[in-house]
Amino acid sequence: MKPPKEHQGFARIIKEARDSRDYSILTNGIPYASLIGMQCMPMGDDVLFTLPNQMTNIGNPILPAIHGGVIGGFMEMSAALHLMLFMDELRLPKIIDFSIDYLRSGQPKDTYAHCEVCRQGARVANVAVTAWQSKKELPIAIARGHFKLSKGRS
Amino acid sequence: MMLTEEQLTEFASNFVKVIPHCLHLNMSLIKADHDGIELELPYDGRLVGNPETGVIHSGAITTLMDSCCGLAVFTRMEQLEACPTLDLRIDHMTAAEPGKPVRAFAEAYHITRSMVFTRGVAYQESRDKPVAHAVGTFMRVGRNSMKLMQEHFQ
Repeated sequence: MKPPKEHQGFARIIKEARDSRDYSILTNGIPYASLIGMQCMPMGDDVLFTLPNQMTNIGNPILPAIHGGVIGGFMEMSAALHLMLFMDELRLPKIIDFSIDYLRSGQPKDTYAHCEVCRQGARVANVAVTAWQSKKELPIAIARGHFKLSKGRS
Repeated sequence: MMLTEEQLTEFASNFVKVIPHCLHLNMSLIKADHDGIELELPYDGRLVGNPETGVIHSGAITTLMDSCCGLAVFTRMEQLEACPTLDLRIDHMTAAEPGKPVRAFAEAYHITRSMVFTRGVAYQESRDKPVAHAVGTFMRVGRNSMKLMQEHFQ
């Protein structure tokens, strides 16, 4: 199925990222991803999303800790990119809802995220995201969300 | 005795200027009283999540709602306390229209000795046409935790 004309520009970037496994063209092409400084790198057959420590992401200067909204935004963007890279989705999937549980404060250091698609239907996908810093076994946040897919409609 | 509306206004207007990520997004305080907190997030090309439509990323809404719900906590408090976010859920009704600011209103609808329950909406035209709904739960960790923060905000 051919995507509509107006989506071909971004669709080409996604295809190029998938084929080359150079995901920086994807994160560099999305202003919000660049704003928070997130990156995406291949990890075997999977991908790992990273949020390098940067001062402008701080939400509590006393602790200090990363802003909860940035951790949420990072996890939301990770889930959407994950769907585009693995689920034959050539458009940025539309977010329906997102629920974040904050387990530990996000220290001012690099943060990682991993996504798992729990269920993908024709129209909606359910994605679970885990974010951690020192060890994956000690997540700083877990989240799940629903995304609307473009499949089945133009 | 609860914090006065003057104290709330002073604290909230300093908050958006002192929190690095809020400052980075140029968030501002519209109103702070015992009914709730109202913030504004100006439209900014750096927040765009979909370069084809110019629509800002959901993460920017998450940050706005986390900040707004987090501030709403203080509308029901007798003194300033550090209150980390336990969880945050956002339901996205529609995409925010590009080029226009997004406003957020949040209220603390229930408070106990250990928890504060908040809810809010993000909107553009009017509060009864929300872009997103948010529900956030915050934990009270005691008044001493806030002393440092208070000094910092003054």
